[in-house]
Amino acid sequence: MQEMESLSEIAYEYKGTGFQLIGLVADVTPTDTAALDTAKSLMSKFGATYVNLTTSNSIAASILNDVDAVPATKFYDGNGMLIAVSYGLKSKKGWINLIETVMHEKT
Amino acid sequence: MKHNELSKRIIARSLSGLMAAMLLCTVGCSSQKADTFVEITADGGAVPVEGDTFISIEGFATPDPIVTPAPTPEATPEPTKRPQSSLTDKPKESSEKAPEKKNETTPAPSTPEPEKKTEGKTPYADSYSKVGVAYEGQSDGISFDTTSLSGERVSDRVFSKADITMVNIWTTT
Repeated sequence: MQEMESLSEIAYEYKGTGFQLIGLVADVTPTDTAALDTAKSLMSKFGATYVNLTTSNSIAASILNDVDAVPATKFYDGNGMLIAVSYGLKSKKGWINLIETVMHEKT
Repeated sequence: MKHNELSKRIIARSLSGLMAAMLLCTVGCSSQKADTFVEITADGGAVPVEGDTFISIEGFATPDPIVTPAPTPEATPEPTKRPQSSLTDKPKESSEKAPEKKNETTPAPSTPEPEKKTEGKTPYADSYSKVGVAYEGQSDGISFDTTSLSGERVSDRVFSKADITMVNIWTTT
């Protein structure tokens, strides 16, 4: 969760480059108000400014269907096709290396 | 004797009148539009006396108006081309090369943009370290529909907003 701040910086720095960042809270559903409040407070605490999604049934069946550990990161192309997966926490530099590698090898 | 004096007077007046007529003709008698009778007196406008001569001047007309020639517009001078000699002109060389260099360097910030489109459009394109990534070979795009934490509806169409979308999955616990 501490990486939210660096991810927010990355989301800002990569604006207009063809890259976007979305968060997905795996244990928060749209109707679970308590979990929603917890997620919101964590976002506020760690300075997350990018969009974060809740887990619906269709999310569970598509994005989360093969995820067996968190934090996990998935990269999708403009058509919604999965192109890369990465697991684990990363520093800002680690995120940048990962993003740049995917951006240059898949675009 | 008296007859001679009268003859001289007539001749003198006639000559002066003739000269006056010639002078008027020089002013303008090219077009003959009107007949004008001018009374010429030898003593400059004194009351005519018996024997004064009236001379008719034919063709006294209004002189042609003087046509003022329209000023011809001067051709716009061609822009002075930067003479090649200025490159050899050493004192000017330093002063003129500076702006040229400026022109070369000014578009520099805009020129990398097209390069970025192909290679380095990302902010850390030149400084990142390549890492191993598990690439997937999915053939079909995923489909979902959900809401964001702020309550906005989001679907898989969000992927079309970018070439690459990174979904960071995390939990509250």
